[in-house]
Amino acid sequence: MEGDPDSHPGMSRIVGLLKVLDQNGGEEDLYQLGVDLHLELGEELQLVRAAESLGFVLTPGSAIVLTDLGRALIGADINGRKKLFRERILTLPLFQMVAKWLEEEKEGLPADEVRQRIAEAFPGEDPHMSFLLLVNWGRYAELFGYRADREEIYLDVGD
Amino acid sequence: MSGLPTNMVTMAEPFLELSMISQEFLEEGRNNQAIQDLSLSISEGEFVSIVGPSGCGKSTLLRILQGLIRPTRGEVLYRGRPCEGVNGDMGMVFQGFALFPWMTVRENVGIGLVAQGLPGQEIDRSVAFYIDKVGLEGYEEAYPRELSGGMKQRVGIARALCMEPAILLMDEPFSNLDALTSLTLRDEVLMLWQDPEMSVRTIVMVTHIIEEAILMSDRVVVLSRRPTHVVEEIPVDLRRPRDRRHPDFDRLSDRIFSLIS
Repeated sequence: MEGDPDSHPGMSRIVGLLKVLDQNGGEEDLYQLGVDLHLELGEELQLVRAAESLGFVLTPGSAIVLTDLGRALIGADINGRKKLFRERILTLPLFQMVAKWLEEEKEGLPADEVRQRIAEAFPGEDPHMSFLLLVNWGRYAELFGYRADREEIYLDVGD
Repeated sequence: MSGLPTNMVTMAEPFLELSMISQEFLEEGRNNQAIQDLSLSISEGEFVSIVGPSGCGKSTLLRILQGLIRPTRGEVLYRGRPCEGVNGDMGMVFQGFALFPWMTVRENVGIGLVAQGLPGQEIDRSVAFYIDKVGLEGYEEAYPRELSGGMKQRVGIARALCMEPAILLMDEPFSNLDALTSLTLRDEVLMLWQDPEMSVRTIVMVTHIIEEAILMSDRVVVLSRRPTHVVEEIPVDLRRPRDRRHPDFDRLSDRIFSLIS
């Protein structure tokens, strides 16, 4: 399997979204934002949901509002953003669970096995999509590493 | 975050100059004048954007600056001296990223240093440093096909910075990225430019996005249609970080737009 980098929003797009919101005074109508950014509704909602799951925005009613965490993220430098992002993804049950598995398997785990375990632990989630998310966000946050040639995910303990 | 203090910009000594550059191409047996008597002076520490109508030879101009193309007439002066061949003090960031698909991020970033024949340990140290600086740590073993456009361009930037150039040339660096990713990367390039640990003090960027030029640079150089020459140089003295809602933003943008169209 190869990571499809465009299957869900990466950090560059999330930070971009937060910057647009910040420039608009921290709040915007969801519909208007989509129009301004030329985003299809599905694409916009996926992006907004991703930002919301990490605590960077809230979506009361039909609005989208930048949170203090979101402001902190765009105010941080390049590596500060990564650090904050890492803290935030570690609040997500999927990332917590997989991090625990990988702590027990120092050499890493085959992608297939992780997908299978995800299917069991999170029956409501698409294991393939979840795995792509783990690799893409995990890499950015320096939490997980992935060896594409061996299809293995492992805990990134730094160099 | 603000621009470099003005006392760091050496105004007295010309840093980088294009002097009466002309470029002719042979096209279907006819001599085609692409650039005509173009002169431009860039100070050390300056961020200069070059804008102009499409096909006006903006990219050619960058290649002349770097010494990859020898102009038909005129000369490039660097620190007061005429340049011969490729200028080793310059790094280039490309619109299409120009990554080797069979190489990992780490290998792509270090390719220039390997070509220079540096010892392995030194290469590893330098590559790790610049990978960290551009925020690519965690992606070292990834292949380009696994990366989003934004991450690919970070590899391109790290590869250029790795050579520790004094001047960074950027050829439409954000044109292949979606709007939100471009916003983030522009921001990060400005952070790197202002980072005292970076060797790069001077940036010359070609772009066709007027807003990008105003948001990022100290001066916007507007070029004409072919045969290309400088129409006007517009200083941008808006405070950084810049906000496109600033009233002067539209004024500058309208001015540049009217010169191009």
